[in-house]
Amino acid sequence: MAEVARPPRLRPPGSAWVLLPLMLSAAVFFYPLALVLREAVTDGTGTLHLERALRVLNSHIFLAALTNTLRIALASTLGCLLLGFVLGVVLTYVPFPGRALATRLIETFIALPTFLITLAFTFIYGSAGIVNETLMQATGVTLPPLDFLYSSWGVILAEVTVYMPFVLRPLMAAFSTLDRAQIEVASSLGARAPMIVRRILLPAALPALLAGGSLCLLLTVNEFGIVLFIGAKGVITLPLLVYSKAIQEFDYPTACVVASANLVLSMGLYGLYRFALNKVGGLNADLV
Amino acid sequence: MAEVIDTKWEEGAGLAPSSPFAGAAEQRIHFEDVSVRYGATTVLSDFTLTVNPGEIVAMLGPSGSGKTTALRAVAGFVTPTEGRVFIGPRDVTHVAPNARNIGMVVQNYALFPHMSVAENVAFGLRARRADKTLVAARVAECLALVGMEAFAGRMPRALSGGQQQRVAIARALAIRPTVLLLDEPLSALDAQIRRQMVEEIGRLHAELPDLTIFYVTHDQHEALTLADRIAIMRNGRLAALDTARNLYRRPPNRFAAEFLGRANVLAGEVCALSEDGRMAELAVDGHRLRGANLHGLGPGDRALICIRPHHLTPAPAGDAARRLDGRIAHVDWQGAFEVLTIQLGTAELRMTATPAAEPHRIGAGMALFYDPQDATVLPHEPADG
Ligand SMILES: Nc1ncnc2c1ncn2[C@@H]1O[C@H](COP(=O)(O)OP(=O)(O)OP(=O)(O)O)[C@@H](O)[C@H]1O
Ligand SMILES: [Mg+2]
Repeated sequence: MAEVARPPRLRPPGSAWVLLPLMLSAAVFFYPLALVLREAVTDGTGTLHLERALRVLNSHIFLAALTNTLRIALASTLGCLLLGFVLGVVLTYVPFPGRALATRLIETFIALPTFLITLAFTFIYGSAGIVNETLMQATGVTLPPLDFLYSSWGVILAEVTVYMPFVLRPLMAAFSTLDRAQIEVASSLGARAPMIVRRILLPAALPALLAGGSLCLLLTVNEFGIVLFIGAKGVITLPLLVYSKAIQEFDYPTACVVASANLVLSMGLYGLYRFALNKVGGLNADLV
Repeated sequence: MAEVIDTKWEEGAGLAPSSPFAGAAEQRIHFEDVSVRYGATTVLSDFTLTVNPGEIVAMLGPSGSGKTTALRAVAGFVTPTEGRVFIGPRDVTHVAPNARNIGMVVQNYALFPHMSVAENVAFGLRARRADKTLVAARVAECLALVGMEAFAGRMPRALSGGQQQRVAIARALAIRPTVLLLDEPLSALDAQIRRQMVEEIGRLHAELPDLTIFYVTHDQHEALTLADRIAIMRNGRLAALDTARNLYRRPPNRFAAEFLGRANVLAGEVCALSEDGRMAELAVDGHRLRGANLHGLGPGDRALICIRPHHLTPAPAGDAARRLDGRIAHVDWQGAFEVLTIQLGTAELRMTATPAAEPHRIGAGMALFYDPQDATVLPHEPADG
């Protein structure tokens, strides 16, 4: 089955039927966004005024937030991909008791609110959390020995925990369609586990990793709750910057500029995600 | 484990292409009282079988009779609950699959979809870290062996089923395996290509006469054409094992007789023996049928007589003593021949005949004849027990 016939596109039943929902979504969705964009590039009187936008985009705080955002998002995505791949391989191919339960548990993470996991993290790794308490009692030191949680590492750890299932799910779907006979034949040809992972599993997983990874990147770039809840000093990301400018400093114009930049970044990543999804579909189509 | 592969590899690597499969005694497969159980279900029980070096043994049997399980026990994907598996002199029962140096070909080919044909064939050599020139030479040689040299650069999805199966065979042969395992390799192909592939596998074995092949199939034609010996499986046990010719001519039991070639099997009682006891006469539903008495049955014993459909012919006129008078119950025309079902009392006999000029009339009388030497008398056992 080299060619998969796509279902024919639905013909529009008449412009009136399309126009109504379009206008509705324009009103509730695009219009506010347009307002944000307009606020970013005009002055109070409504004339085009790029100077302030450029000033904000060149400011130290914006650039720092941008690098932070990208650094954290990329590191988290990388973490998700690595952990997701390892877990995917283990959960699919290494038999152990309770495997089905473990899979289910990990998948329910998708349903949990992101801040909840962060909160749980502070209970475990926080300065007054279980780990530090235990360590302090055991060693007798007075300062919490473990304080990575209130740095970008804490944010990355939380994001990896929360978003890894977004990689794991498509990955396990991909593995479930992979013919086990391939792995058996490879092994009878003398291949050991690392070679099987590298030459058989990884190529089969690539489309899923691409799709899951770009989704992770998109979600982590826009992550707000986790960063806020961790409350790490000096870890300012774009969404957090928008929040502090708009809500804490009432500096709406600056907030709008940052928000617009964030929007452009998201749209770019969304494009990447769609591209990756298409690639998955395309690859699957000629693998079937 | 690594060393075992490596030494084996060194032996194989230096050989001339004409006789690449060295150490004949190495290439024996031996099952010793192998049982495989999953929980309470026994899938293979007390299975003992030797596939001799250079031999093709085909394993036939109904679905679920344990054929694949036996083959996977050789490959190392099933660990026997009891018993041992040997490859050559080596007990491989607990040896990892990747250290067994086995060529395996499966039903759906399982080519690696992300690799070209050449890369697929090279895979096993790469796993052994063979050097580049050797890999190139071996890939070319194995692709030539299966007539696929022109397709080296193709991706598997751009190949037909038959071509994919050839590549799968080349891939298995590239590592110079001690034995080649085939699990229903042709069942995904249509009938015409299947016949062609059977011939090709036969030719391949003629070119590599030292190659030991264990061939699982449910196609009798494949088994009869290719195999030196046929093993018939039933409910996880070996029901029969012999050369194709012997099994066909002298089936050892009812199951083998009916499974291989669908022989007519009629139940009766021994009523007379020839002087030397080698022939027995059975009373079957008022008729008297004679056959070879290989199991030494005596008068009064309940017995079965097994007659192949093509051994039955219309009786020559006048030979009243050995003719069986029946009626035509059914005619199944198959082109080159037809299968007549003859009602003989309460029993039914199938016979093959060249199509008659005049169509047969259902219900018409028909006198049958067969040479008693072609029939086999077997100890009694219930049908489908
Ligand atoms: N992992 C397993 N767990 C439980 N039962 C199994 C397992 N693998 C195989 N079986 C059972 O073992 C029996 C023999 O299976 P096997 O695959 O060897 O049959 P087969 O002779 O190859 O049949 P087929 O002609 O259909 O391929 C079947 O009844 C099957 O259900
Ligand atoms: Mg099978």
